[in-house]
Amino acid sequence: MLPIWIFMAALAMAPHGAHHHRKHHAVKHSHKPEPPTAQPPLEAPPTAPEPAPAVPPVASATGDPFQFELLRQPGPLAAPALTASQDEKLTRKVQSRRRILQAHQALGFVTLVGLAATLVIGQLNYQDKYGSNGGDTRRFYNAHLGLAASTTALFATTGILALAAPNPYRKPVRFDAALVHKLSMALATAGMVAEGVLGPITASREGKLDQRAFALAHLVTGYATFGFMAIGVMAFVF
Amino acid sequence: MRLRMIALALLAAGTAHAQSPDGEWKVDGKASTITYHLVHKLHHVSGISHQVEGTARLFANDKTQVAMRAAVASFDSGNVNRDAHMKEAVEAARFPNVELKALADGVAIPKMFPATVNKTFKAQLLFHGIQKVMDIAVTLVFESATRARATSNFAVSLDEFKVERPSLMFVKVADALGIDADLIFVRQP
Repeated sequence: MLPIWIFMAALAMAPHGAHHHRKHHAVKHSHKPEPPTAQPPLEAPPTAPEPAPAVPPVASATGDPFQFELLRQPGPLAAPALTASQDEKLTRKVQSRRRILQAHQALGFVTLVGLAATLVIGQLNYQDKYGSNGGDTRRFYNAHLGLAASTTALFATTGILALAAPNPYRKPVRFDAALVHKLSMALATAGMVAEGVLGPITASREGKLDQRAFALAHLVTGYATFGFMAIGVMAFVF
Repeated sequence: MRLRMIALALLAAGTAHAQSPDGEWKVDGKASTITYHLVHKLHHVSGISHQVEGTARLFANDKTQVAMRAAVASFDSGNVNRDAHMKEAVEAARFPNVELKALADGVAIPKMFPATVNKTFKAQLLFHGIQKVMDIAVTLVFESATRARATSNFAVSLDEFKVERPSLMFVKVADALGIDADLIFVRQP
């Protein structure tokens, strides 16, 4: 049943043929049909504010109350749907990245521990050769050499894994923990290369007066390299 | 003539009653945020989206429909690697948006402002291609007749939405994904 106000609106808006004022019009009644006259275009009635819908639209035949759409347009970041091959390629990239980065994490921690051990043995080796209580027994030399070689191999493998991991989703460059990790590891890489040069040079200066200076430089560079690597790991962990 | 005047008077009175001041409300995207929270043994991760779309429709019988959407890629945790990992975990290329539809009864514009209304909405969340229905408690603060703030905090299970939980140092994040919504709705003319 229509509300009463709709009925009243219809009544108020109805044409008023029977109540038309005639005193302003000189109209002669005639039995002849009058020719049609051009009517001025009707003005659109003023639009009243649209009232709120009385009840929510009927959902659907299934009665699912959530079958309504209020957001008509696609989202602002809407991208074309992936084709089957694009989807498959992306999935492979994501899976590959996950596997590679898990290996990178595992090797990274092993490398950090290995580098710590290399540094400790290297410090003991330096103390043995140049310390006041050292006897230059060379008892730490082979251990240091072995640890240094294996840590260098681990470091290189860990770095290659990170560089080889695919990037299925674009990553903007900004100053965050990820960038700190990359910068720290870049500096650690420079340190590892320097150590790889300083170590053999130091060993080759056996018996020379400047060997101690090279050994000290090798030791300090070792500490710095470990420091950069530790910062890189902590940036990602914390 | 008299009948017409009476009809017009009744029309004005009837319209004033049936024309609800409620209507359609849209989310002010610039002022609204949705934040997710993840807990890992080592730290707490949050990502914020400032690109929320939403519309709410209030009907004359005090029923309310709400629809909202946020692009997954718009969430920013402050770490590009974590954001990329998040997109991988929720398959952002396949399911680019998180969408929520909600229904409630008894939401009407109050007579005085500011006014607070606490309401539980029945909501359907579409996330990672999975739909779940849940009850969400919302606090509505009507700041004026044309502006309202809706805040809500709730949690969902990543496992229920079949999201592979990200891990760090081989330890996965907790299953609960906390959601904080802080939305400004502006009534449309």
